[in-house]
Amino acid sequence: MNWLYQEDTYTPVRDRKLYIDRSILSILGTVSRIRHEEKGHRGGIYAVSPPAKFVCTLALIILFSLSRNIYFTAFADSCAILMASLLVMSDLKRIAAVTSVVILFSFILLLPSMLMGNIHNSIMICMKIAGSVLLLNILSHSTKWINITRSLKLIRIPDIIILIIDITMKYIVILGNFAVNMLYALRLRSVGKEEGKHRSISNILGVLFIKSKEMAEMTYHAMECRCFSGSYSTQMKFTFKARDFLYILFILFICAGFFLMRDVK
Amino acid sequence: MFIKMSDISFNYDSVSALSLINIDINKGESVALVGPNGSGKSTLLKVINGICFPSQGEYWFDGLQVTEKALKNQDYLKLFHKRIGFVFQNSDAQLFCATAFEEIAFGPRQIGLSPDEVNERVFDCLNLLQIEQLKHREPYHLSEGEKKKLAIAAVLALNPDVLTLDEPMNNLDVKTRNFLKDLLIKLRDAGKTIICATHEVSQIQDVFSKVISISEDHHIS
Repeated sequence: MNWLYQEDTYTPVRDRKLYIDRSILSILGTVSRIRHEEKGHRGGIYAVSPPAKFVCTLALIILFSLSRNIYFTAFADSCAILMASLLVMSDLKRIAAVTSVVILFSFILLLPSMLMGNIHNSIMICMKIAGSVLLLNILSHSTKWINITRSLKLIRIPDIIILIIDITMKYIVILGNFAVNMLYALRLRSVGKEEGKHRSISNILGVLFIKSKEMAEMTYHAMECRCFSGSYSTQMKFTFKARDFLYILFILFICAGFFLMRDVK
Repeated sequence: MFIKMSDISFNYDSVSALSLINIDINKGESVALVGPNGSGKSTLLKVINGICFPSQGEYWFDGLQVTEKALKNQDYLKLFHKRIGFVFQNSDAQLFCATAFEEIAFGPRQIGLSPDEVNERVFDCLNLLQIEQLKHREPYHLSEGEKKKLAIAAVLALNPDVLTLDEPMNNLDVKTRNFLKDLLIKLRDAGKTIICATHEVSQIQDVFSKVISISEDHHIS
């Protein structure tokens, strides 16, 4: 036991440890992205009624997938970019990064088709994917998750499914924080060279799995104790203001483009 | 001065967690951080351990200023973490190995001790914390008290100069609390610097030579 009462003479060994920091940063990014919604209200597109945004986004994505006209697709893409430009710079940067990666990935996947001569359709698929991803990102960045899940009621999604999605979002944050703390604990004790770096990460994943199972059981018991019998009802408040009217008018303008440009070649 | 903090402030987004904190701690001193929930005790411990970095002020450890930039130097970072051990409030978050033995052996293996030395440290820590019977058990199957003892053993196995503990007595029975109190006295007498956050002053009598009180407005009161 003498070692505990004496000072160690320890010189650290050089080792790459970036993987822990990268893991911490990526989890923190996801958690803060969801937490970010706790910030106060902003104006503009952020303040448009969530059900209106949800239904309009859904409608536009359907029109994107139905469209066979490259002019409409380009027109709708431009309108989506215009909408994205109303977001704050940090959100805009994040959306631009995600959309660029998706476009690049789609382009690579469709490259063989383009080389076979199917250029027109391949470009249109890329444009459709870009537009849809852009619209979904605008919705998710400008609307609180809780409001998006409430809006699911409009398309007749059962309340119990909405509850499950709400609980999932909550536990992503809780387990995300837990994972970050575990990674901090790992970092604090990673004071030397470790050969099996990935083993520690897989251990953390294992503990997270067990923790999530325990939490799920506890939540279930807590719900039972509060008389949960399998049914759950959510409330959706719908208020309509001038900015909602303007937003819907803009979406209707895009929808009109779908019909007007149908025959343009 | 072993640990010196001057005008340390820390904010979570726009919410202040620490405000103009000044602390001086000598080597071998045992210090209690007391204050109500949400006063910033855990955040202060995170700053001391180099997990968070203050938005304002200076933090010096053993004559060297601890900054985000300084801790980017891998050699200094490892030496810093080797010298300061942190027992988290939530033991679950701290235990990530498959068995209690592996958990305690993690640190000594990190610093490149021989297998015999690792075994010696592990068994000494198991004995000190009186958890020998748990050595082959999975950490997530242990009770709260056992997890806390294991977390402390895992940190002590690195033989840190400073031991920081975040609410170590939470959720523990009286017997385990008394055991931990005796252990802290033993470590203090052995010359370790101890910094312990707690919100129950009654638990810390006889253990600490200095009490730092943080108020609800995140200042030292």
